Amino acid sequence: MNTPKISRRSLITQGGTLAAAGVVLAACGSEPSGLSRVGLSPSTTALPEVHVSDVVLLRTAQSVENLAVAALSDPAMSKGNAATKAAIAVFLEGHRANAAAIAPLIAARGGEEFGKPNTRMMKNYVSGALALIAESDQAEADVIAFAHAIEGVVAATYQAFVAWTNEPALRRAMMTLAVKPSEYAVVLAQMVSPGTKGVSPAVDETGGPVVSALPTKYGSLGSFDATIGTMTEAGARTVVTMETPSLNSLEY
Amino acid sequence: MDTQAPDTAATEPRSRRALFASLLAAGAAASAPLLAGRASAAGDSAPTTTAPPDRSAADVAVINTLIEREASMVATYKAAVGSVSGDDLAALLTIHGHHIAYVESLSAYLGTEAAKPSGTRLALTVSGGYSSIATQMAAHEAATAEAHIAALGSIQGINAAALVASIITVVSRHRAALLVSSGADAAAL
Repeated sequence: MNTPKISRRSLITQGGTLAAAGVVLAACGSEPSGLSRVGLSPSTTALPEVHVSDVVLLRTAQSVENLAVAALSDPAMSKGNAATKAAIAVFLEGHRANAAAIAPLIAARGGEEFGKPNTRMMKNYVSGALALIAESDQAEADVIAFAHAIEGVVAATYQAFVAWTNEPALRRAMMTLAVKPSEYAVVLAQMVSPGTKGVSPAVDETGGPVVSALPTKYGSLGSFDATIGTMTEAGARTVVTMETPSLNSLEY
Repeated sequence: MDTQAPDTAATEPRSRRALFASLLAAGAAASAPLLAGRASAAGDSAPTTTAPPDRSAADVAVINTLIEREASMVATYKAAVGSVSGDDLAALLTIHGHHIAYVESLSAYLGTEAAKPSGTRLALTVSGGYSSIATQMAAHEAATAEAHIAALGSIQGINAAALVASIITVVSRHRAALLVSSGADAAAL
């Protein structure tokens, strides 16, 4: 007569088989869907995944060059004196040439060039600054101060992008383009503090920093300030603080 | 009637050893799809890219050439500052100090692999006052900027590239500052 055998060994055997089966079934199962939901559960669309590629950096660099062109050619920036106007005409030519030089670098990597000013920088900095200069009672000085900040941020953009760029050849190309904006910043600084006295960093009678041709030993990636606009009743003027493009201002 | 089977290893259909072996086999079977899934995911991933290294031993030689260039600039400014005074002297000393800093920072980057630079002085006629010296040094600054920019084309390490880039923006300013402070305008740059 065959009767079921119940022993410690058979229990262990059957228990082990069940455990193995459980492991197999668990592996085949799906993840729990989470907490149950009550009411409407609107569907969501995931944001597109984007990468900071060399092409993105080139497009952004081009957008910053376009930003400089848009800013410097704005009617508000024509309020400078004759020397400033002549210098800005040179700068405009340089920025247009830089933007054009970036185009084949983008095309060679299968990207599309960016023909507009940097969207976020235009909205956050430039539009407001140009409006302040247009209404300013010190427009001539404001033009120089704002152009100085613009040139600083353009040069710093290339410098900042070197650390993000994969191709050494592109890093070289970017820093080739950084030379002119760096030089333009010096021309504008010399309009404020001319001669050799304005070369080195210095402070004025009140202890405030004087605009100098060589503010630091190494290229700064900090902010670039321009104090512009009409003085308020409290004696203050607006400080526009510009920074190099970050992840939220790249042109993907 | 005793129906209990004899508790002997000879009659037991499965031994403990066999049981453990079967458990391991079951575990392996269970994990196989998971491992296979991972392998599949790896195969389906986006094209792999190699991130640039932070440092590269391949950069030592090119950075040593930059140290040599910067040491030459230091030696040349040292010769130049003896011929000027006042604000002109202050301006040249500022730039001289920058180039000393570049020698030090590039050497510090390489550490023990930094070669001792000869610091050969570049061509400079010290007569003619600040304007003459500034024009000559501006040409040397342009060549120095070019040397750094050319080096970027071969530097692999991101840290070295970032350091050199931060030098380029200021060396470019040196050139412009020398020219504009001695009377040139934007169109002459």
